[in-house]
Amino acid sequence: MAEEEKKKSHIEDINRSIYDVKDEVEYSFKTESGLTEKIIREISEEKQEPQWMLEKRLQALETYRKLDIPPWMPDISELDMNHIDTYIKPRTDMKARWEDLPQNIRDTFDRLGIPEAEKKSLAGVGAQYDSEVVYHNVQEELARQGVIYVDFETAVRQYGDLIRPYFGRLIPPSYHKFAALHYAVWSGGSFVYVPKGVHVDMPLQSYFRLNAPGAGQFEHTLIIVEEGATCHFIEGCSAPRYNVANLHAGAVELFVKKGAVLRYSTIENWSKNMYNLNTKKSLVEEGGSMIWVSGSFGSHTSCLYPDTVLKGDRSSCEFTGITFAGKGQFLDTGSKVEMLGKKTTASIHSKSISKGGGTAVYRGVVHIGPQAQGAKAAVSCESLMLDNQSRSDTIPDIKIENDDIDLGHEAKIGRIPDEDIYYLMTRGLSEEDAKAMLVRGFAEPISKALPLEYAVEMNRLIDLEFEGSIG
Amino acid sequence: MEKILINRLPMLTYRHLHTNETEIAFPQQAKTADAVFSSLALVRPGGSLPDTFQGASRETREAAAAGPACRIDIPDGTEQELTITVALKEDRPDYAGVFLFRLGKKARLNLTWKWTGTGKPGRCCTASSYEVGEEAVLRVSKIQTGMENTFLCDQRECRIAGGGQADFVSAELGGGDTIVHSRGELDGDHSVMKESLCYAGTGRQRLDLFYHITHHGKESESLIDVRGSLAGQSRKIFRGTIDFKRGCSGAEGTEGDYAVQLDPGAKNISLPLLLCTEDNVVGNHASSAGQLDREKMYYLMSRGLSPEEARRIAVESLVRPVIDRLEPSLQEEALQDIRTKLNHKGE
Repeated sequence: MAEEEKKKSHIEDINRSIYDVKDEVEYSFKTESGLTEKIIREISEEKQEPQWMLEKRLQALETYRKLDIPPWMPDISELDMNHIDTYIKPRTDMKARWEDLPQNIRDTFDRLGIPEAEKKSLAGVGAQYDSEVVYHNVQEELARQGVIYVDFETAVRQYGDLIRPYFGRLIPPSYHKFAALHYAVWSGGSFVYVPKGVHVDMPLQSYFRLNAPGAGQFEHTLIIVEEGATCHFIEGCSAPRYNVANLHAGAVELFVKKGAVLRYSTIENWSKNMYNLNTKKSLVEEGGSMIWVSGSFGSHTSCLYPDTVLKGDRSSCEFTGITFAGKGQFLDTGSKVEMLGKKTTASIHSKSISKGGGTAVYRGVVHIGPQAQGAKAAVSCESLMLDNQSRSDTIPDIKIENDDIDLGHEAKIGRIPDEDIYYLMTRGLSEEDAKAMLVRGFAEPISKALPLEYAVEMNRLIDLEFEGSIG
Repeated sequence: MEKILINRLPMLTYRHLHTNETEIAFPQQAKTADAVFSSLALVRPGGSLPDTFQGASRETREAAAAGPACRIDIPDGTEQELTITVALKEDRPDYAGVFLFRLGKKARLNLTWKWTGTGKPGRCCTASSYEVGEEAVLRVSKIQTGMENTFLCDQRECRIAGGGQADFVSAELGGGDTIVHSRGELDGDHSVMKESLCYAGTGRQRLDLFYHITHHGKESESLIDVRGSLAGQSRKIFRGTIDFKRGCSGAEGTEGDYAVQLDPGAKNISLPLLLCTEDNVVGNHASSAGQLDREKMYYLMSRGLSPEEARRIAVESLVRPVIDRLEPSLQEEALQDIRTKLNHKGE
């Protein structure tokens, strides 16, 4: 009974099994495991790509072979590329109606609540299953206004001239070893184009589901928000848990033009056998705004540092992120801001929670360039340790190259204050409930920044992580 | 001139900003000056650095170790004062040496370091090891001025037993390249280590400041407080780490790095790390950088002060908390040197 009550108070109606359901692995095409030129040619041929894309892939493979693993990264020695399947094409083409998908794939996305969310609160949805996008749809009204929201393969075929100047511009293959890997084997992802002055009021969402054990997912997301336009893009991801390593090495390139606003929200809930080595970068022009909201809960190892280049004068960025590292997890996350334009502003709020032997690292950069007169930046990092088996590190790097700036940085590490727990317990809460409430309060600034459905999901994830962890 | 890498971060980060360590030209040593002790009664020649001594780099550690070594032991329960002066001369612009301090149980040592010199290029490398016994108290005040073409490398490591305290206060005002490499091990319960430093970078001065305090003991306490101004083409790198090890329950550590930048050519880099494997701790970091507060300047100028006077007062108010903790006989000299440097800030 007590156990039931605990579940009732903390778990409510969440059911972890929705993420862990494993579909039978069915595919219409699959490459051999590993990373070779032959495999890359097979992927390109299967996708019927133009020659320029194949050449880009092969050049990226060369770059991947030349680059080393950065010495500061967490240990990824258990990730063996020879055992990663880089391309698995599901047994379906892309559909524009959920009803047309194979039953097992449709059931998976139903469990994850994607079709329901689309009906209620989204302007468009893309759903990727293993290496390919299987569903994509956008509201007709947006399409009439010139908004393009398609899977990336369609973008390469239909909008090649539009995307080519942008593809790989912010994140070149030489950016780091896993960016090179991405360009060698990329598959899936989304392309969003918001024309000048168009406001996409409801969010667009892409959801990435990796079902096959030992597989990699390498989707490419490219978003261009033209002058004065606005857009909110949501990225979700999950996978069932396996005993072998899975790999995610996506790339996200975001272009925010003059006076435009882009909000990019992510709830990352990969399974705990996932190596999440994702790369995200945005370029913001004059008066533009980039807003990142990020929740990192899953993965065995995560390296994720959304990078914003504030190139234009008076451009701005906000980063609000939370990382929750549990048992066996090493989540190395943070943000980078390069302030190059005059009177640029950056606001970074990062929070992390570690428990059960998990490691949470905040790794950040604020670089204020020589021409960025009048730049203002505020950085705050808060780390909560829930036990003494865990680890929490804060590694900020602040580089200032002109005098007309204003920068403030603060960081703190500690545990939930005993007096706060005591106060809530005097009001009738159990110790567990008190701690869970305080952790929710700690995470509140991030959940407030998320759309309601995702804030609820995040809070439930936090509740779930607490089950059996206190005492 | 040989290039060496110094002050490597204990936890590396991205490589593209080139901040994990500093590459610096390491001049050759020529003729060395002498260290003058206020009392020779405490000083015994000889001794060598502990095997664990790391220093800013292998080269700087070996350079210091090539000089004369001495031991200063403060017996249990006794209290001593000592001043060590190194005055570089035109014909002897270099220095190298090793200092091994050991404070017995409940011993006290007030130690003052004075470094002065001319503009003659030179190289000074010191390595100091401090062992602070149970409930012993070490207070170190250091001032260095002039020596604007000297490569100065102060390497120190301090190990503190239960209830022991070590308080280092430095005014690093001179030097061409000024390197500080300080490590502290708070081994004992209730041990305390404080590091306070002020600077006033001018001309092409470079300050490369490294602190790493590790908490092992329960309810141990640490403070790193670095404050100063950067003018001309001067450059400061702060690498501060407070490291809470599992078992240091109840420990508290705070680090602060506060800089004002007076000229567009000045550069300021800050890497304030907090590393933690113990939940029951309080770790804080705060830093700020930017120009002098315009409202504060306006207020001072509205009271009849010239812009230069207002700037001097504002910088003084920033560094004053460190100056006030220096040994009293050094405070006025430090303030005067800062005032002089601010009057010739770009030079």
